[in-house]
Order: sequence, then C-alpha cells, then structure tokens
Amino acid sequence: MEYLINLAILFGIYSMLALSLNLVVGMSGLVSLAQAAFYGIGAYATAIGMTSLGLGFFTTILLGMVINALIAFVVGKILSRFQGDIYAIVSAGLSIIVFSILLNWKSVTNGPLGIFGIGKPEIAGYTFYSNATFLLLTLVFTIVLFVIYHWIDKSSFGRVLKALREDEKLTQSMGYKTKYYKSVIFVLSAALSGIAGSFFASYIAFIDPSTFQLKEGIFLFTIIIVGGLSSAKGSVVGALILISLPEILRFIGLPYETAAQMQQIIYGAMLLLMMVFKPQGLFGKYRM
Amino acid sequence: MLLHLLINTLIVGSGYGLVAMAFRLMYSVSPFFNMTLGAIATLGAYTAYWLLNIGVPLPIVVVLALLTSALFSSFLEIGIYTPMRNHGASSMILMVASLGVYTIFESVIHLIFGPQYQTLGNINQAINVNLGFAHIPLVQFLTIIVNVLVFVFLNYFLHHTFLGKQIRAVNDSATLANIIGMKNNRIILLVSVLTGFILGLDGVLVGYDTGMEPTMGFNLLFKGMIGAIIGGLGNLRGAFLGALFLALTENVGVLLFASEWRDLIAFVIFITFLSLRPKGIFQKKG
Repeated sequence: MEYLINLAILFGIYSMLALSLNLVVGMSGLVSLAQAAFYGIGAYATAIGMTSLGLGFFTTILLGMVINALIAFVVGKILSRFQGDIYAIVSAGLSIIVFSILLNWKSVTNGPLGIFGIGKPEIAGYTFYSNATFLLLTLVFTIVLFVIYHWIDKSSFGRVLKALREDEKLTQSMGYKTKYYKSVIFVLSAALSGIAGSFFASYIAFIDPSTFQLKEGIFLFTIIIVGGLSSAKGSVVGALILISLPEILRFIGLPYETAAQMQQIIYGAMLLLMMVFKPQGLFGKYRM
Repeated sequence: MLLHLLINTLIVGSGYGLVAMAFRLMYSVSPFFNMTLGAIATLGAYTAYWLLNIGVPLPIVVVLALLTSALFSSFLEIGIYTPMRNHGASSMILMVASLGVYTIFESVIHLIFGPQYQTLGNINQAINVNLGFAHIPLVQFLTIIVNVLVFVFLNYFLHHTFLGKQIRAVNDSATLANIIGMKNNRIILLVSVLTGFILGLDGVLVGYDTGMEPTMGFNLLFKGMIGAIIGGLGNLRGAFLGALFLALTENVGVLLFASEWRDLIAFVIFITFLSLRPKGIFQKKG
C-alpha cells in the first residue's frame, strides 16, 4: 500500500509539471526544455524557506511561484527573440545555467551536498505527516492545476495562444500583441511548475541539484509528447504511463543499475517511435 | 600570461573545433539540431577502447574506430532520418527523434562499458611537444594539427570538387537542387559518412586527452554546436573560429571567476551572442 501511495504522489507531482509544461509547449507551440529549472527553483524555495528561514510550506509555495515568475519574466524576454528549434536549444541552455547556479552557489543552495530535513505541510495546526494525507493534498493541487489548464484552454486567452501557435504573423495582423501573450503564458507556466517543486521537496525531505538537470526537462518533455500536446488529459495520461512503466521493470527483477538504464532506453524509444508514428502524442491536438 | 591564455584557448578551442565543423557540415545539408552527432563521437572513442583492450595495434584501431563511426552515422541517416524526412517530418520532429536515439545510445554504452571514467592511455601525461616557448601534451598538439588539417581539407573539398559543389548547392536550396535532378538523399548520406569520420577522429582524440564516459557525447555536441552557431552557420570558417572564440571567452571567464562556472559562462555567451547577433560573427555573404 505504501508503495502505491508513493507512486501516486509522484504521479501527482509529474502531472502538475506536465500540465504546466503543456501550457507552453502544446498550447503555445514554444518547445521549452527549461521546465526542470523552474521545478528546481520551486523545490529550493521550499527547501531553503522551510529549513533556514522557518517559513511554512504554503508560504514557500508562494515564494517559489513569485521567484519563478520573476525569473521567467526576464528569461521569457530573452527567449521571445527565438523560434522553433533555436528556442528549444536556448531553453536547454537556460536549464544548464540554472543547474550550474544550484550546484555552485554553495552559500545559498549548499551545492552538491543538497539540503535535508525539509518539513511537511501544515494547516491550522494539522501536519500532513503520513504519506496518505500528503497524497490527498498533492491530488487536490493536481486537480486545481488541471482545472486551471482547462479554464485557460477554453478562454479567449487560450484561443489567441493556439492561434499564434498555428500562425503568429496572422494573429499579429489581427491586432494581438503575440509577444505579450507568449510572455504571460511562460510566466504562468513557470510559476505553476514551482508548486510541483515545493511538493517534491517536502515529500522527499532531501533535495540536491542532480534532480533538476536538463535530463529531467527532457523527461518532462517526453511525458507530454507521449500523452499528447495541447491536451490536459494527455498530460495526465503521459505522466501515468511514464511513472508506472519503469515499475514493471522492477517487477521483472533486473538489478537496480540495469533497470535504470533500461528505463532510459524505453524513454528514448518512446520519443523516437512517437516522432515517427504519432508526433502529436496519444491525445494530442497539435503537431510540431 | 597572455601567451599562456592564447595557447590554452587554442587547445580548448580545438577540442570543440572538430564537432563544430562536423555539426556545421551536417547542418548545411540536413538543417536540424542533430543530437546523435555526440553519440557518433562517443562510439568512436569506445570502439577504440574496446579494440585497444583486445590488443589490436594503434593504427588499425584508429582506422576501425573511424569506420565504425562513419557506418553508424550513415546507418542513422538511412534507417531513421531519411525515411522521416521523406514523410515530411519538420526539423523539430527530427530533433526530438534524434534526442530519443541519443538517449537510447547513451544507456546502451552505459550497460556495456559501465558508468565510470575510462581513458585510452596515459600518453597524454608522458609525452610533451616542445614548441620553444611552451610545452604542450602530445594529444592536444595532435588535436590542434588535426583541426587545421580537417579545416583545410573541408575548405578544399567544398569549394574545388564536384561533390563539394553539390553539397553547397543542397545547402543553398534543397528544393532547387532536387529540381535540377540532384539526388539530395544520396548527398546527405555522403555528408553523414564524412561527418562520421570527423566525429570518430574527435572521439579517439578526446578518449586520449580527457578520457571518456557514457554521457560525454552531450557535452561534446553542445560545445561544438555553440561554437558553430556563434560563428554563424553560414560557412566553415565561422564554425572553426566560433569554437576558438567560445574557448577564449570561457578561458577569460574562468580566469575572472572559477573553473566550475565554465559551462554557465559558455551558455551565457551563447545566449548573449544569439540575442545580439543572431546570424553569428561571420554572416553568410550574399
């Protein structure tokens, strides 16, 4: 049971990440590989906020979201100059920059040693100590993000994003300031992925920079590619598939090291096969 | 001090130079960010490692490593990218597919050879080349020489041979080249073989110089790609000089700050450059 709860919590965290990434990649057509950076900043905001500054979990969520929004605002300005595959490469570069800062800014992040002893969420004297209650809280936030995604998807704001994804010049000619739209969705997506980072930090109770490498950004990208671009359902299904699949390998009884590599091989094969046969993903509504 | 900096720049820059030139060559006929180029270099290094361990003499090892890399490169082209391109895959889709292939490759190497650092040999420490004003380790000296040779060869090849002119024609306009009856896919395949040789050579040199690990390809590719993009994807000179420029700024940055910030410096320079001069230092003429 503990094992299933553990999986479900991870599923919730990755669903949140996939939903917020799909806002940028799927809905707006901006292929960003930088999501792991915002995930990491959210996690570090909670880790540092709770251990050194003595803040509560929910305050640190807000803190992480605000920091992410500010960084994404600046980064988005830089990224808005690029398009297509150059955008992807530059965003990958930004991810490496943030990882390098987490790793080397030792006075704040404690460098490669990481931060441990991160506490659990607490509301009005009640602490979410057990994994079951933590799962409940994670799922509540996942549902909130799902609803937010859906709401943006159906709003006029979302329609403009999808229009500029298909033809940016045409959208501009109709009087929409597409730069502004791209900037807003990037900031929003970064802030929302910060929430997932906070949950991860509190759940694992120990974080170090190695979790938030470019590799993780590519993994998140794989989730939405498999599940489906520009689809809330696709984001969640993608997370479910990619979180549960490696567990099957564990049941086969491969040694840990081999299983980890087999997992990577499967992820890589999924990316390749999706690109060859179904580039928009299982439930996708947009093709790169 | 200045001399030291310049020599170090030449050494580091040559380390990026071969990948930068290979990337730029491949990009000129097949314009997408091909993540598997790093894998091709890695394969060259590990093939050499395996052959040396079973006692094959060095010259044969080098030839076989280069051949393996070239074969792998052409296999990827025939087996994956050409069919996808024929089905109208966008450059973004090709890039993501190549990312998938790279991920598989890295794990396969990891499973076969293990995660640890390995090196082809320690001749690096043992032999120095005395230039009168500086001592350079043999491998790094060879890397510089190989860079210059490949640069001169490619320049001659692209501008003075029929095949080279065909490659440039595909680069200028793939559609037009196709209309006048050129077989674009065959030219792309030939370029992929050539790129395979260059990358295999780079892999062997890196294997001797800094050693190898399964993840080496990603770093190699990224630095080479940044060099090529900074220099401007328009011409070969740009790729080579871009790699040197990247090395220079990295070295100055490391002198000013600390060596652990090297990657960060490289990417900050990359992004600054792209923002200010999107087509690189040496823009394509005409």
